[in-house]
Amino acid sequence: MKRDMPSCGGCRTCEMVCSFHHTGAYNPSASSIKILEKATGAGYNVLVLDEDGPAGRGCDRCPGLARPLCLDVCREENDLTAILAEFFSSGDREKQPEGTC
Amino acid sequence: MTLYAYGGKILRVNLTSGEMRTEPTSRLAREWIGSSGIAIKLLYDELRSWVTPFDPANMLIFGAGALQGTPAPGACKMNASSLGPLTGGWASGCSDSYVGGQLKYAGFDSVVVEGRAPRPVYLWIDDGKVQLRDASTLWGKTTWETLDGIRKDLGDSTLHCVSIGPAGENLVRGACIIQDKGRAFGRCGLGAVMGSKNLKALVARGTGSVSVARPAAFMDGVHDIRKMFDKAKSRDNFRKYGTLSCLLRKQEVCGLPYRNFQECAIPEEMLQKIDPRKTIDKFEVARQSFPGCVLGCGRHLHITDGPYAGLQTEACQHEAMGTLQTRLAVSEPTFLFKANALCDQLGLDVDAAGGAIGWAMECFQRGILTENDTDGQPLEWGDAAAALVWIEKIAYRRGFGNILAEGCARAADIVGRQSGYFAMHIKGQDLYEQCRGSNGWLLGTATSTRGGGHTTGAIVIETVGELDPEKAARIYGADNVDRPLDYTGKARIVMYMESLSRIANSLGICLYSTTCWDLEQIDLPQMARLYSTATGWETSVDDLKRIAMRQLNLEKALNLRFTDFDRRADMPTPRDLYEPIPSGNLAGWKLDEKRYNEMLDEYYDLHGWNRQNSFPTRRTLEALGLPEVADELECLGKLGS
Repeated sequence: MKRDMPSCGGCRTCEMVCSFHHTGAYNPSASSIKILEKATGAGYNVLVLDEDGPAGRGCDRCPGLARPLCLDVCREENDLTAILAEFFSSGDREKQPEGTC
Repeated sequence: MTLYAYGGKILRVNLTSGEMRTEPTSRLAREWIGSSGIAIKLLYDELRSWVTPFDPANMLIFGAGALQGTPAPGACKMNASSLGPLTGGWASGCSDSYVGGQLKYAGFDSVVVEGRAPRPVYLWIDDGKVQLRDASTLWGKTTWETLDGIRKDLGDSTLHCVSIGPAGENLVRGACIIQDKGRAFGRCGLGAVMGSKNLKALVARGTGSVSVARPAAFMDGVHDIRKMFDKAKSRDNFRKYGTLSCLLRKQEVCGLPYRNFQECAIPEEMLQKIDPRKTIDKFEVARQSFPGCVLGCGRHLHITDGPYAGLQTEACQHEAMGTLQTRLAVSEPTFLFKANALCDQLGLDVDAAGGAIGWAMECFQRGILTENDTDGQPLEWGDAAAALVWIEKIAYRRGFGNILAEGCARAADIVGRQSGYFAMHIKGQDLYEQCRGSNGWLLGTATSTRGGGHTTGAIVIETVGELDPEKAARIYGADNVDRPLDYTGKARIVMYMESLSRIANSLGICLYSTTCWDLEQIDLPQMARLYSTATGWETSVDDLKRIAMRQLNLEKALNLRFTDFDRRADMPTPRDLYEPIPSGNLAGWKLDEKRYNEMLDEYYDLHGWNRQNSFPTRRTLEALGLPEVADELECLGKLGS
C-alpha cells in the first residue's frame, strides 16, 4: 500500500528501525516501510509492504510491542498512524505490483 | 573479530592509474574513531611534506560517520578531509549525507581518493562493485544538473551523490562539495581539491547491513536520547526555522556582520524587513531531513513573488544570512535563499563568496578598488543583483572574479594597497563569524586548526541566552559559559567544544543535535553510550576526550608540516582586535588585547603547547601516545619546549 505523506521530512529512521525489527541489524533494503521520493509535491510517499519480497520484508505489525517501532521514531506520528491504520484494516490491504519501489 | 557499527573496509582509489584496493577499517577504527578521525590519521601518515593541495599526490578522503547508517539520533553526517587550498593545511568539512549511509550499507567506511584522472570521471559504488565512469558530459554542469545526469546515466532515480560544480572544476579556492542539491561539505576548499583530481562526483548504493554489538542496549540508548529532545527549549523554533531562528538574538548580542564587519548589528528597519521567519512562513512547501535526523530543521521553499519568483530550493541556515545577506547589506528578504541556491549550484562555499565580495565592496567603499579594477562594474553595498553576478564570476573565474576566487586573504595580497586589513579571515579561511563581543566564540574561531570558523571549538552557546545555570556548569565545567564578555575560564570551555565537535563529527552526529546549541541535547556521555553499545568497545567520556585531543594534535602537526602557523595565526583579525563595536547594544565595547593574550596563554597551557609559538611539547605528544609526531616536529624545529 502506498500513500502520500506530505508532512514526512524523509529522515528514514522508520526504515532503519523496521529493518532492525526484522533482521537485528540496520538495512533499509529489508524494511517493510519505504520512504519514496515524489516527482512533485511536498513530502514523500510511504509504501508499506504486505508480504516478503525482493523489495523487503512484509509488515508484521510488530507483534509483542505496544505499537509499531516505526511510530516510535516518527516526528509526524499522527499522519503515519493514520496510514498504518489503513494498512492494518485488512479490508483495504492491497498487493503491490512488482517494481513499485 | 567482528567489527561492529562500521562498514568494515576502507576503499582506496588511485585516479591516475585507475587502481583500486581495500583495507580493513579495524586497523584505525578503535584508536581514531570514525570519519574525520580516520582521515586525519591517514593524511598525517601518508602526505609527504612536498605535496601541495592541487598536487595529484594530495589525498581526498570521504568518510561515513561511525554511527551513520544506524538510527543514532542525528547521525546523518559524512566527512570529507584533505590538504586544503585556502589555509594550505588541514581541511575538513561535514555534510548531511545520504551517500555516507549508503557507503556503510555497501560495506565501506571511507573512500581515499588519490591521483588525478586523465579525464573527468565519477566514482560509482554499487555494493561491492566499484567503477570509475566517464563524466565528460557532466563536466561544466551545476551540481543540480549533475545529480539529475547521474540518475539518468545509472538508470535509478533514487540515487544520491556528492558532487562539485563549476567552482570546483575551476579550482576556486573556496569551492565546496554538495550533497545532492542543498547540503555542503562547505569550508576549506574541498571542492577545489576534488576538481583538481578530475573527480566530478561520488555515488553510492548499498543493500547490506550495519550491525551493532549490543542491539538492545543500543536501541535503549536511541530511544532515551530521542526523548531528551522533547525537553530542548530550542526544539520548536528550530524545527520551524533551523538556525535562522536566531537572527533577532544575534542582533541583540551584536553578532551580525554588517558591511563586512564594519558594524556588528544591522539597522532596525532592515532587521524587520529581512526576518527570515516571515519568508519561511510565506514560502515553505515541504520539510527536508536526512537519514537519522532527529531535529528536522530543513525545509524546501518555493519563492512565488519578488525578484526571485519561481525559485524552488532548499532553505539555508543562518550562515548564509550572516555571510551574504547582512555582510553585504542586502535588504531583499529572499536574497539569501537565492544566493545560497546559486552557490550550491555552482559548488561555491557561501562564506568564500561572502568573504571575497564583502572585502571587495569595502575596498570599493574606501576607494581602494575602483571600476578600473572591477571590470567596469561598481561594487555597492546592498546591490543584490551585483552580488549574484560576482558569485558567478568567482565560480567561473571571470574578470576580477578570478582574483576573488582566490579567497579574500590572497585577493588582498594580490591587490595590495593596504587592503589586507579589510580581508576578514583566520589562517587564510574567510570568516563569517562576528567575533567581537563573544570572547569564547572568538578564541575557538581564532585557534581553529582548519582556519576561521566556529564549528571546531568556538563556544557557540555563549550568546544563546536563558541557560539553566546549574546544567550549563555541569556540562561545560564552568559557571560563566553564558557570559560572553568574560575572559577567565573560556579556554577550558573551548577545549570541551573541541572534543564535542570532533567526536560528533567522527561519529557523524550533527552538531546542531548536541549541547553545542541546547543543553538538553546530545552531550559526550550520550555519545559514549551510543558508541560503546554500537561497537562493543567500552568507551568512556574520558576516552572520547583523549581521542579528540589526539585528533587535534595531529591536525596541528599536519599544519606545522605544511604551513608557517604559529601563535600569530591564532590571533583575531586586526579589526576584531583593534576596533570597538560601533553600534548596537554593545556599542563601545572593545577586545582587551592583553586579556585575549592571557586567554590564549591559558589555552596553550591546557593543551600542553608552548606559549611563545603554539607548538606542542614532546611531553604532551608522548602522553597522547604520539611520540613519532614529537620526533617529526623536532626535525622540523617545531617542537614546543
